[in-house]
Formats: sequence, C-alpha cells, structure tokens
Amino acid sequence: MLRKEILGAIAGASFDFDDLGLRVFAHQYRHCAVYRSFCDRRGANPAAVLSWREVPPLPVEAFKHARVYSGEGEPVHFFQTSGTTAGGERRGIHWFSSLDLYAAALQPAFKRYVLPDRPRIRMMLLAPPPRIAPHSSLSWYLERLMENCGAPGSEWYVDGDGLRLDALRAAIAAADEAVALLGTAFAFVHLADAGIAASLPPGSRAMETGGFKGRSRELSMSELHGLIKDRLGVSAVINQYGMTELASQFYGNETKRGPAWARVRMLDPDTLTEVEDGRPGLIAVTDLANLDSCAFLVTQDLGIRRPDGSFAVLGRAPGAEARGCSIAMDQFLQGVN
Amino acid sequence: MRSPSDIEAAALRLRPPDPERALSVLPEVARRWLDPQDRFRRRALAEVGAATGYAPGFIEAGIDHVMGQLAHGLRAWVQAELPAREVRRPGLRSRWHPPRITLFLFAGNVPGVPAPDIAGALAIGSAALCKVAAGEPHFAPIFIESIAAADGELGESAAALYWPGSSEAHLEAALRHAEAVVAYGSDESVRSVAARVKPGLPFLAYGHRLSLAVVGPGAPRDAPARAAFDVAAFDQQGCVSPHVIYVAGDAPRFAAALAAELERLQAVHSRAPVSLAEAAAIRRVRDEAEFKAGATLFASGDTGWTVVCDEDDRAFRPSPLGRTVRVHPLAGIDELPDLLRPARRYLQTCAFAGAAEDAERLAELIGVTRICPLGRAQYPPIAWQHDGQPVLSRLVRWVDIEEY
Repeated sequence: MLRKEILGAIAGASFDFDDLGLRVFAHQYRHCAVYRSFCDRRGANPAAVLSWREVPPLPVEAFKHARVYSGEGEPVHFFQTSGTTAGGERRGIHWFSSLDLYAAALQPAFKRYVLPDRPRIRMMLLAPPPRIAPHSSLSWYLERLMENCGAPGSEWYVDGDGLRLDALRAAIAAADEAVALLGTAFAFVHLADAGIAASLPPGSRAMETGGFKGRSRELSMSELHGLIKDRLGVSAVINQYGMTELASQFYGNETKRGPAWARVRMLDPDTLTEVEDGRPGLIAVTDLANLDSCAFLVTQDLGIRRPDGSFAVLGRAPGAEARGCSIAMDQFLQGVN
Repeated sequence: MRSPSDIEAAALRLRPPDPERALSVLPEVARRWLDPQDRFRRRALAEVGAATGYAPGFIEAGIDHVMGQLAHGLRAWVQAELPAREVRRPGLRSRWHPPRITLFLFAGNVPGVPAPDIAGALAIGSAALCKVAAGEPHFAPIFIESIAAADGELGESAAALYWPGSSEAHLEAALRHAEAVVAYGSDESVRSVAARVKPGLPFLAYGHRLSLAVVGPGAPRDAPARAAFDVAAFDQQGCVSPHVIYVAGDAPRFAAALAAELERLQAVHSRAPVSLAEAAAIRRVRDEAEFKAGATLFASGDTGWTVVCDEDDRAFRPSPLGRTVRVHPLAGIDELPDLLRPARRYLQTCAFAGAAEDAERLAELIGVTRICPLGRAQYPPIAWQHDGQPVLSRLVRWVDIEEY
C-alpha cells in the first residue's frame, strides 16, 4: 500500500525516490481527474514517463480553481490558502482523505532543523489555534508541534481579535527558560512594532514563515531576522518555506533544506525545463508525502538550487517589471485598491 | 562613462536650429531612410535589432512608418500645432518662442519614437538634447548622424547621450540649460523627473499607458490577423499595444483565429527573449487560464505568445506583455465603461474594427485618447495628440506684448 510505504519512508525506512515517485504519479494520474487531463494535454502518462523528473508538475494555481484530490473516498478535511490581495482572489483548497501523512511528515524536518538539541521546548505560537482557524495548515502544523515537542507553558498568542500583545509581552518578559517563538513573519513585525523587546534566555529561537504577500509593509528576510534578533535577543532565527498545497516543509535562511522524501528543482519559466544548479528558476517541488493531492507541483516562487539539493528562495516571481510606458500588474492593482 | 559635466558641455555646444532649414532638410533625410540600401537605415536595423531582440520585420515597419510620416507630414504637423507665429488677444498680441533646448528622456521600449520628437523640436527652432535608454541606445544617435550627413549645421542642433537614469547629478546637469522637458517611462520615473524640473517649465510627461482593441459587428474577416499584428509588434511593449481585446461576437472563435495568426507571426517574426520575471508572469496568466472555469487557453510551446479567452471575468486587466492577450466577449459597446473602469486613468489607444458610428461612440464613452483602425495601432500619424494633448505647442513660450 502506497500510503503505508510513504509513512515508512517518513519514519526513516530506506526507499527509492524515483521508484516511489513513479508509483505516486501512477496513483494520482489514475485518481485525480484534473491532474490526469493536465498530464494528457502534455502527452505524459504512467506508461510514457520513465523518471520522476519527467512527471509534469502541476501549477499551484490549479488548487484555486479545481479539486486537486487523489484520495479514495471523500475527503475528511481541507486546508485553505489565506487570501492575500484585497480583491476577490480565489483561495486554493487542499483536500485530504486523512491527515496521517501530513502529521508524520511535519515532524522529522522540524526536529532536525529547528529543535535538534532537546526533546521539548516551551513554545509561543504567533498564530491562531485550529479552533479559530480550522482550515489553516499553519495552525494545524503548529498544534501538532506543540503536542509532540512543546514543553509545559506552551501557548497560542493569537485569538479572534488578533495578536495577544499584552499576554505576549508579559510572557516574554517573564521567560526564564529557553523558548521557541513560531509564527508568521507578519506577527513578528507586529510584535516589534508594539515595542516588545527582551533578552530571551539562551537556547531561545524563532521560526517565521509566510512572507509579506499583499501586505502594506515588506521586509527582506535578513531585515526581518535582524529585527527579531535585535528585539528578542535570540541567536537563531529560521525561515520555514512551506505552503498550503504541499505536505512537507523546508527550513533554513539563505540555504533551505527539507526531508528526504521531498526534492526541489528549478524550472525555466519560459520552457519549464530544469535549469542548472546556480541559475534561477521557478521552484518545483516533488513532495512524496503529498499523496492525497499532487506530489508534483510548480510554485510561483523563484529560487536557485545548489548541487547538494539545498536551495535559496529569491522571492515570489514578481509581476513583470514595467518597461517604458507600460504598467506592471502589481502597480495597477495597488492603484485600484 | 560620460560625467555630468560632459552632459552640460554637450548641451552648451548645441546650436539653435533654423526652423525653415529643418523643414526643408528633414523630409529629405526621412526619404533617404525609406531606401532599403540607406546606410543609416541598415545600421539602425542591425544595432537596434541586436540591442532589443525585436524581430527585424517590426523594426523595419516602424522605421518605414515614422520616416514616411516625416517625409510628407512634418510641415503640416507644425502648422497644425502652431498655425501662427503671432496671435492677437484682447489688449495684447502674443508671439511664441521655442525652447532653446528641449531635453528628451527616451524609454527605449519602442525604437523609432525619437525621430518625430527630434524632428519636431528642430522644426520649431528648438535644439534637442536626448537621453537614450540602456535597452535601446542606438536609434536616436544614428538618426542625428543622418541629419548631420545631410546638413552639418543642422546636425549640430541635436545630441543623443546615455547616462544612468538613476543618476540625479546627470539629470541636474541635463536640466540646467533645458527650457522644456519631455519624459517617457513609468509613472514613478516620470514623477521623479518632474520633482527636479522647475515648476512652470514646459514638461510633457508620458507615463503609464494601457491600450485595448474592440472588435464590433461588421468587422472585416481579417480582423484576427490585424489584431495579431497590433499585439505582436515590438512584443507588445509600446503604449499603443492592446492588452485586452473585446469582441462583440463569437469571442472564442476570434480567440482561436487570433491564436493561429500569432503562431504564424511567431514563425516569421519571433519574440525577443523576456526576463525571468516576465516569463514567470506569463506562466501565471496561463496557469490561471488552464484551470479556471470559463477560460480557454491558446498558447505556444514556450512563452512566445498567449491568448486567453475568458468569458466569465471580463474586466480589463493589464497583460504581462510578451504577446500575451486576453479576449473577452462583449454584448455591446455600452458595457465597456464598467469593464474598463479600473484602467480608465491609463487608457490610451483603442484599436477598433466595426461600424463607423461605433467608433464615434467609443470616442465619447471610454476615456481613450486615440481610436484607430485595428491593425494600425502601431502607426499613429505624426500629428497625433499623444496621450490626449498637443505636443509641439506645449513646448513653446508665449510672450505677450500689451498695447501701450
């Protein structure tokens, strides 16, 4: 059974990425109508494709317009992307026949890259709990982390009214043991804007994710990390690269790494062929834990891959820069909103 | 690289042109450019082609148009803009004087644009100091050389130089002796120039512009081919190029025919390479069209051209360019104001095919500054009111002499 095998790979059993990948492709081609027609339009099918690299990656945009679902039986849950522009942008929906793979996949990479040094840590979660945001993949992910690696005193600091700044301020001031602050990039900015500052105990760390899409303020990753280090006195700030459409996450700043069952390639946006390491392209993720939707995705982010498989994210592929008297879409939208 | 003082020195060296001399020499210069063997034409084709990557066919067509206009229409244009040297008004008479130097800041997205601008300035007696764009620095200097080759003295009234657009010091030096400024670019870059121009100095700003096409009932059978040319020319980079086409009729059929024409054009006049960001933006348009209900996608194998027929969401949206166009069905012209509302401030050209009375109606209704036949978007007459305003008459200074 494919699901069991993937769970085994996540648990550490050795596996052949290409072989497993092709079987995941065959499964998804068979069970997901949207993906099947997408592949057929490209002349790709399980008989024709010889390696995981030849499997056509589905644009994440598809999740906004179609049901990208390969599960057998009706889905039990879904995650939804957060709307980012003020206009009526459609939100992507990721359906699951079970959250077992998601729950298993999130653990090993988090442990390795964010919490390698101790089994548990007190967590301050700068995001709403699933109770308030039942379809947020980030909230669900953080809840699992809190269960698996949160020490007593771990708490959520976002409620229905937003960031609980007073409680957060008090908790940070009173912290007498190492803490981990995990949350959205924007929540950290709010925290800093509210004037919260402290020197957190040694061993404290921060993990931020989500970026600044559609927000009024934008900071570069190094600006954001500098701000967090400056205000909170933590020495380690780690960026988490993930998205609603995936099942697995990547960690790191200039150099991002992920689990063994998820590989990243960069594709030339002009031809959608793989570009050589060191050159920028659209980030395409092959995430074998993404069994219930599509394991072969191409994002709207630009990145550069390194020979060891790690990569850097250059940011969301911007609306094209305007040349001459033409106007870029982003500027046009800003004018409208 | 030229320093700011080099720029200033070049400005000071400019000789004020004799307008009558300009009006007799420049049409002859333009006529020479129309000869396929002309050495300046050939150099321009080679160098502009190499710099921009635009298909030679489009560059040739652009040169033919602009030089054809200059060869036959320069005097009439000046006459239309400035019919009389002196006018009378109650209590006074008024005479116009040209700016000693007009500073042109060119954008480079469409080669050939500098020719009418430089010729127009010379023809009203203004010297022309030109900044060329990094992306296309060749056409203006070659044109000026061709003027100098025909008339050495007249050639000393124009100069084209490159300096980085980001350099305030260079801009200040260029502005020091300019008595009029013409700036092309994004709203942002035009605004930053405006901030440095003395208030009250003639300043013609050509910033962000969006154009469209409308195909009405009664459009000719070759409407898709005409539309394809408007979209493909200079890879849609011109302010006149349509981003969206509204079809009062069978829009999916039109879109399919347009796609076939773009494919044909791509084979003969291929698109220049686009940047990573542009290619990614084109991919995003395609991804949405592929999965969205109500949308049909026609596309080349690479990102060379893209047609999206969207029957559900028809409001105007700018294109990422590179020959990417949306086609929407239209019940009637009266729907357009609502559909164009987000873009209204930016609208320039509407290329139109259909009944003459609909063209009139469009002129009233949708806030564009130019209506032209479909297929002719890239060929505005030299006397056009660029972005809704006259050109030459806005450069001059009127001096009133009162009765006393």
